[in-house]
Amino acid sequence: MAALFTRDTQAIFWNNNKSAIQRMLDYDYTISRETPSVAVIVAPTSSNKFEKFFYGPDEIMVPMVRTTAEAAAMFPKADVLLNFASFRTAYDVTMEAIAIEGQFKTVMVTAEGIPERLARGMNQAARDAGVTVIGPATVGGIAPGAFKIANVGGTIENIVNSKLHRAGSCGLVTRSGGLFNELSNIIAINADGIAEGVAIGGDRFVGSVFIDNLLRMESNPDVKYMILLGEVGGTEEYKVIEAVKNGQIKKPIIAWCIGTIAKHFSTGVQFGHAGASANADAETAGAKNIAMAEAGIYVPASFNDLPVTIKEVVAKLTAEGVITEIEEPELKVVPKVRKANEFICTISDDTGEEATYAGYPISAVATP
Amino acid sequence: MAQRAIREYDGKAIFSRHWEQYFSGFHYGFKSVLVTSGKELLDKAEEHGFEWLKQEALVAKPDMLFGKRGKNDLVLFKTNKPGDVTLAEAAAWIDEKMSKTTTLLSGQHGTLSHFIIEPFTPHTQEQEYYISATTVGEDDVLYMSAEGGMEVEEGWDEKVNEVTIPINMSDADMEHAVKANIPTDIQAKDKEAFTSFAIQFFKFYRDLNFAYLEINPIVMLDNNEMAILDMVARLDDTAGFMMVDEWAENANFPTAFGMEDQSPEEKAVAEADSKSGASLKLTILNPLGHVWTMVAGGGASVVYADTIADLSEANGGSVSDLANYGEYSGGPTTGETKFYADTLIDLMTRHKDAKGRNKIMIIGGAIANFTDVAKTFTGIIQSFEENVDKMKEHNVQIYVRRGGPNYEKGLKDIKEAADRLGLYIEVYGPETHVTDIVRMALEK
Repeated sequence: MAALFTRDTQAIFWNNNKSAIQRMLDYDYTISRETPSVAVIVAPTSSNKFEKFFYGPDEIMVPMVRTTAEAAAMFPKADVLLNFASFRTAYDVTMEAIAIEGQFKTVMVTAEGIPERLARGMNQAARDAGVTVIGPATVGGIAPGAFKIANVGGTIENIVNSKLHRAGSCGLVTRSGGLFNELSNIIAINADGIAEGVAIGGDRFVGSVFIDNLLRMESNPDVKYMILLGEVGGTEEYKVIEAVKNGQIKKPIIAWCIGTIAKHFSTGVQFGHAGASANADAETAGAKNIAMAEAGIYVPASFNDLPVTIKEVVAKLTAEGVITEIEEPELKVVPKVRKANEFICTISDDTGEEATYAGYPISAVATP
Repeated sequence: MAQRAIREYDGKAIFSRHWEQYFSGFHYGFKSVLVTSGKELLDKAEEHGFEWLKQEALVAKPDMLFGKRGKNDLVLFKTNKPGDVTLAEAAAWIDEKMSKTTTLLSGQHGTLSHFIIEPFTPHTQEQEYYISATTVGEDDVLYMSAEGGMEVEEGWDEKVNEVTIPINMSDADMEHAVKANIPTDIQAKDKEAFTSFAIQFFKFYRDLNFAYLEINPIVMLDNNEMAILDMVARLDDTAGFMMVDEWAENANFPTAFGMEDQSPEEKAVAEADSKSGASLKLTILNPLGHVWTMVAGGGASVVYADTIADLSEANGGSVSDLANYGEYSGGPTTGETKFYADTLIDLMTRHKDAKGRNKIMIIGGAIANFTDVAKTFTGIIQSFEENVDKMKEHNVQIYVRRGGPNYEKGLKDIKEAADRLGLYIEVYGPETHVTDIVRMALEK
């Protein structure tokens, strides 16, 4: 339970989202994982038995099946479901996965706009089954140096620039996926990167909330401090405040709620996500920032000062010996140009000794 | 995508369509019409099935998503005494209300355009009850009171019974919980019927994917005849794809009263947004403001707005310096990006700043996950080329900050274009804190 993902974590990827899967495998190669992070793909309408991907310069075949049950039977240790179904089917896919007893620890749901009543039912069913739901409406999360969900972190260059290729000291929780990426960058510039990060999702009803993730990070020894980026609307930040006050969370937290602008406009302007609308004074970003600061959470004067606060807290923790120097690991570089081992040629001339492709002998073109 | 309000008329139509299925044993007439002029009402009265408009005393009120219509004196139910309003009087009243601006007690103002007309229902205060349901936290909550009308809102805590219903509660447990919490002061003769109605009301609210549903008052007449005198409803519009037949033509989500005076530019952006797979949003906060934002991404657009408000106050300005709020994201095409930039540049070059300050254009954004930055900047550059004279005339100063796929090329392109055109520009990448360009621009 301490860490969300390890280097051995393998996922079942629901939907054959080739670019996202390729990004995961590129990440695996970069950090020299022993096994690919995607064990098997579930593609309900495909009759193919596998899909080809690159693993570094080479090609590998990732098995493909039609149902989650088949995938689970094939890979009983793959305990993460990456649910990339649309908002119409994401609920059914999650419920089916939860029903497979003992298989999944984590289900990530990317779809935005799942009917609220279905999302609530799904989240409750997962809680009852002891399954952590990340999302809906999220890019997911990452355990740097171990496991990365789909598109988190963007391009491989950005991942390395944002130090997402190896574990740092920070536990990061945000609502927004776009700002997750930005925060990773801010933490890389002003500190030593993150140990674990989750974007909980922008819909009103999400499975795991701030407090669930922060409590897990509290018990993860690799996490030395946490950064929480909240939002106007809802009362989830108060659960964190409560946990800090009653001593459940002892590690330092740096936090900021975005949406302070909303106080200047009485009605009508929706600033941010579906979940982001203050129904009471306590739900405003300003009130939450004040309440968090009063509870002893590090709250900057504005979002623009966040880097300063991070530097201060990290300097303090470094001086105390809590944060120590991180050894930079060797990185493998994914080649910029890759060629598939097979190709289909439709323009050929087989009248001579050897078939030719646009005048060139096939053996000259097809050699890898 | 969220919870959205529908008109009282549409809510009642949804009730009526499913009445037999959910409320068998009760009767509901659904005598309501929605009109946008007095003439439309008079025409309606000539249609088959609407003879009651000529035969019965009427009640007319605006149906435009705002409450407290009684307190705002916007319910027509009497000329000389309650229950004497004729068709002609209702039509004249509607035309009169539509002919001028209406200001509500809340300060909202606008022109009334939609009215609901129903028969006047004679009844006693004792027959009025209150019922509503909504989601609080993770649970549904059913509210019931023996007192309906305006009275329930004064003394809510004493008068209303709440039943919390978790998402996974069985029907049997839910029914038990409702029965156990029926307000004690409901008339003895109505108690059984009210209990049955409350349970069915909750199932209707739940199954039809309402996010909020309130009847105040619901009137229990003789022979299990129910009158829904006033109703407020919000739907969870994300459930629309499952509710195609259930909601049918009644899932219209009108703009709130007083908000319909959107500018043509905001309307044009909203229209482009509805036609595109990408997301384009624009709200003009102060057309005379001198700081304009063109920010990619929903989260980033909020932190930019926050920071501009915070830092303009810190630099001797005020939040009114911020001219707009909005975002473009989700991979807009070059054409869409150009249109969005054109719109903003047009707006920012209409008025000279009262204090003689430069116009500031913040082209901001976080580090994109997969949007090609160079591609989106192409549309902005095209817009610069077209609008360069206006921009110079108003001393538009451009501050750019962006990261993500292909950002180096994007930043280089936009810098070169601005330099070539003679526009003032500062360009920053991911090494600069996302909102720091706001500080740079405002401190200058």
